[in-house]
Amino acid sequence: MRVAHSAKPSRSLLTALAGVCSAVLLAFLAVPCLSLLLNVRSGEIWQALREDYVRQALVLTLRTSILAALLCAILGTPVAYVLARGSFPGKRVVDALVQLPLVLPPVVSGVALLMAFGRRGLLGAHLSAWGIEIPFTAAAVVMAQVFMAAPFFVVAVRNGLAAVPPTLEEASRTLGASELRTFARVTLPLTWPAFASGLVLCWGRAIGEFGATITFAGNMPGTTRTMTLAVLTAMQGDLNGALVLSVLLLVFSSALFLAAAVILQPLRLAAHA
Amino acid sequence: MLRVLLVAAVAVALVACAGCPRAPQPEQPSTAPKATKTAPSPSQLTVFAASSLTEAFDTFAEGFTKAHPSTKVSTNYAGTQELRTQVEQGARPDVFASASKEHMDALVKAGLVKDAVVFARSKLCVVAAKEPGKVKSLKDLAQPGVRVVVAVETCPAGKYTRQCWDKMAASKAFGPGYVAAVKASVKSEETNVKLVLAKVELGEADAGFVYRSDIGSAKVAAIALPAEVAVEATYEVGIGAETKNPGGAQEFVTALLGPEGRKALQAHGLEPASPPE
Repeated sequence: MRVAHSAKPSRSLLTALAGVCSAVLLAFLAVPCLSLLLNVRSGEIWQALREDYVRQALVLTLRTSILAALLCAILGTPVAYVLARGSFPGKRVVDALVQLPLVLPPVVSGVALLMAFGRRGLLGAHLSAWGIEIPFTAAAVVMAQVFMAAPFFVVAVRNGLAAVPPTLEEASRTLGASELRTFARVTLPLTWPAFASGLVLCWGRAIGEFGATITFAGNMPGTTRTMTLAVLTAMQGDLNGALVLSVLLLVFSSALFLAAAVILQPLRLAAHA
Repeated sequence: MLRVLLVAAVAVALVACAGCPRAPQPEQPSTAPKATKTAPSPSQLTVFAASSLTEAFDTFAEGFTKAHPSTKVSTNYAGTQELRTQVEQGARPDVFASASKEHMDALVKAGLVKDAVVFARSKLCVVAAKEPGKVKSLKDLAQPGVRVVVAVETCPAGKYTRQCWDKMAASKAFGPGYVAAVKASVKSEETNVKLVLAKVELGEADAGFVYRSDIGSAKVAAIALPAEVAVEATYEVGIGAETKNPGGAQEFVTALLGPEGRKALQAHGLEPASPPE
């Protein structure tokens, strides 16, 4: 009794503290987004969408980021599977390597990519001899995006796969299903939400990529100037243009996440049912 | 639980609103005079300078600090257009050095910088990567497969580059076809002139347009522009309108226009402007 009695005030104090902390963080996240929206009129957005340089940047961003997300999915799924299911020497090292770009500053990643794939880079020098030169091309943009976004996909899918009991897969195999069939009919249906959220996170990161892109791919309208680079470039002379582009990106990214949430909700429920 | 959260949220919102400015007004910075505080010792001097001034100002600031041990100079180098945006958005440098008259005029007109004077000039030139050495002369810039990097148009170096192209298009020696070919070879528009130089020095680009004074110790080949297409950059320096250290800022500018400044500028390939009499 006594214990319960004395615990009560400290508990409500904790609740209040948690409330204040949450409110501070939420306000801190919401206020900048809100002030961005308040500084732009909707008419300006439509006008901006008619500008060539905005369309160019938007189309380039969509094309490169979608390609990057697909590449992450194709190359990342086997890695995630191996990390979730396999046990092999050096697994920790692979795990750390996959997650390295999460903690690496993007500009450092850009310099690293340049040192690897630049004209005089470790691999780039050989590619250059074959007439393949990557920097300053849209391919460099995609590479920068894959480098920065892949961890988001791999980690999400690995966690999703790890949550599926291996006994289910074993049961399927015992019943005569092949390895691939088991993955397609048992593992994949159970881990769809993880795949989908991994893809959305990875795509979102690719859209937002900036530091590695400007360092490795340069800043050229139509070829490598994605939306984020266009914001920086506009910021240096036309603040209003930068605001409009920022709002476009904000709206687009929010829509992406909202759509993902709507699609994922029934899938999650289905997965748990 | 819910009530606690609600109360807390409202409290935070109130505090946040009380603290936040009504609306950002980039065009109209507050001109209200601020009480000049007694300068803390050692006194701080914040200098914003065009990235092409990096080496010259580093040298000059070192000498200045030796002569004025009580002053601590901190420098911020970037493309002049970036620095201008920073000042328009509320940064308060004591000294502002611009690579173009245009950006300085805008800041003076907005009441953010005062007493602007020309202090140096530099010439635009072409730099070429030594390896693989595709560009040996200006004519090579128009060859197919050459990768050229320039500064973005809002950056002074980028503006001077386009001025040079206009002159080239109008000249008999080059002509519009040449300029079109060069423009087609541009692979990237960097945000400041130092990044242009870096891309050429790394060998990622075959050539770039920079100031002669930028080259310094960079391992690149310099190609001068002939007189008929030469473009000259004009550097102006001014004092921040809201400086808290007007005495220090004035001393810095005076020294920059004086013999020490001339020496530092010349040592890094800049041509000092004749001091105002």
